[in-house]
Amino acid sequence: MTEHPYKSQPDRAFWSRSVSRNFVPWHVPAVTEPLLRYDDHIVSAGSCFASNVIPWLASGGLHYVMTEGPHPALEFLGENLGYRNFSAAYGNIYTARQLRQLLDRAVGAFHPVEDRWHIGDTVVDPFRPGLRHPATSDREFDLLTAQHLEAVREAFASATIVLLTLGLTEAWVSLADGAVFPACPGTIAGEYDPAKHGFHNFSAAEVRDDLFAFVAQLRSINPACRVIITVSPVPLVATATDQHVLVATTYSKAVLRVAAGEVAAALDDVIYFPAYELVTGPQAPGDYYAEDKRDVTPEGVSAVMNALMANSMVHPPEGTPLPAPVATAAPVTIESELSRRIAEAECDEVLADR
Amino acid sequence: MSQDAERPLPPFQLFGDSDPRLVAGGHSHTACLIIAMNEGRIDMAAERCAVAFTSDWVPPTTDAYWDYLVEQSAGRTVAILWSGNEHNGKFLLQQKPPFRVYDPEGVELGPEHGDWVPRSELRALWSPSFDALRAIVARLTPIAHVLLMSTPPPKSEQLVRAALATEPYFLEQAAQLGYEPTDLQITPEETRVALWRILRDLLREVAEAGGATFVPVPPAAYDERGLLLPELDAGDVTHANGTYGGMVWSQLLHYSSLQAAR
Repeated sequence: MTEHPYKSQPDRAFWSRSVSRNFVPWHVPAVTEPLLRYDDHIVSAGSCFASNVIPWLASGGLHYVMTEGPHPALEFLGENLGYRNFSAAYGNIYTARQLRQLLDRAVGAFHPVEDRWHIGDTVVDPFRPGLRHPATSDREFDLLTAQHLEAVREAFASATIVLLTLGLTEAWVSLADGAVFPACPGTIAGEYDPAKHGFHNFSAAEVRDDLFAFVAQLRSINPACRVIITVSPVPLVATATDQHVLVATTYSKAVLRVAAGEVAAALDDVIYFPAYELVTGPQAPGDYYAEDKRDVTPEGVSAVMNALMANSMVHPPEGTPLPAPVATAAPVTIESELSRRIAEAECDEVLADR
Repeated sequence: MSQDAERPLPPFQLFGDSDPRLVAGGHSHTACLIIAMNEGRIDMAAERCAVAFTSDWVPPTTDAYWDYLVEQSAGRTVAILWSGNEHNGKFLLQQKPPFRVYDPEGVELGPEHGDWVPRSELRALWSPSFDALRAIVARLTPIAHVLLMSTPPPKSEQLVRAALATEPYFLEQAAQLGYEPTDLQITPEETRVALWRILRDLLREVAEAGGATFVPVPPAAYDERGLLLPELDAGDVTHANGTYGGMVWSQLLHYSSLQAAR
């Protein structure tokens, strides 16, 4: 007589044996190969939760790709929001459609109709509306945007693995062509116009198709690139639907989780990593969320990143040649210091600009 | 501005007419006005002009100097030459990596000159350095007509290199930082002009916001690329000579008369 299939399942398949007791976070991901490798070039994109990865990767000695950032001489001026937290200065990307459109724009396959907002003396990027230092003319906007999109393309083209964190299904779009804005026009910048802007809550099928399209575009420029998809455990800050925000959050996360699972199941080298489950599951300690029940605490982030790193090959096998060190820019420019000394010698007022 | 507390305060004085209708003052670029006076390029008494400066010609950096200038300005026209070396003070030498700045009045450099840096980022870098000027303008406008004179445009790379090659202080400083003078790269002229124009625009905005009059550099003082003409070079990296000072006097008198006619 043949035993039923559950008889041969491992402990991790049983709630009583792997969640009720003996819960081990790094046993949760279904992994057959290391998620990250010591020689990977890692690019990340997604919601604000995704921005947590950089310090962890750096402390693990892994190489995080950065193709766009401030000039070293101006870095101290700072930046808004999350524009310095990702491989290029795209900031938070909340929806799969926005991600897909970003890469399409970077390879010249999509040109949004509403591609700029003229606000006072500035020209604001609707897809990066919080940039601290916007363009001041259309021509400068064209140059800066082209430079940004080339940095985006370069990041995705040079990655060996892309780490995506899906955040939302709700989005505000241009009614002209469906271009997705990261935030409702009028919130961070711009002006909301109901004749030009519409609300859309993506379905699981739409998110799935957007992820398929994104991966296809990615592999058109980088055929061997692997992808890890996660779902952010951070709830919606607000919903534009008529639902309670808790219900809207559940819908959004369920859609993202389904779509991520379907894409991971359908495509080679696309892996689902259960960050969402590690933070939101019933096994999670109460301190994974802050008092507002929305922000994930450092403890919650640690649980996710520890599970990720535990399933990665951070160190090369013994005897493996080490990858070439990655050049980093000098934090202080000698050129600035010498320029200052020259000018100071000729005019004391330069002292005031120290 | 009181950053040289250890240095004894130099006395201040008016160079030129003792009862001027136009008083000029400011930082180191003001010196070319005194040189022009000494070279006889302007009849200070006839034009009733004076320069408020330090007696020892060391460029003023103290609040006391500005108090003195305010005292000398009541009922008169006062022209201020404010700083004007911020672009040299940070970016005279080519940065690593290099960068480009879009200049609506200039040419667009190619990608070999580095990434584009937003103009607004450089404005953010330098705007705070004008806060003290804003405060001075606010003190002056109730009691005087105020002119804010743009400072000299950048010099050609040839002139800068010539100045550095003969400057022992620079050679010493470069050596301290591990630089061989032959290794140095000067920031491209186009970029230095673009940076200077950002400073010029900030000065213009301070004038417009504060009820002062912005006075541009005389067009005859720079070439088609925006560089100071070689014959106006004072022989160092940053400053213009007495001939330039004479041109600035003409410019100031012209704008002063325009203001008086209003």
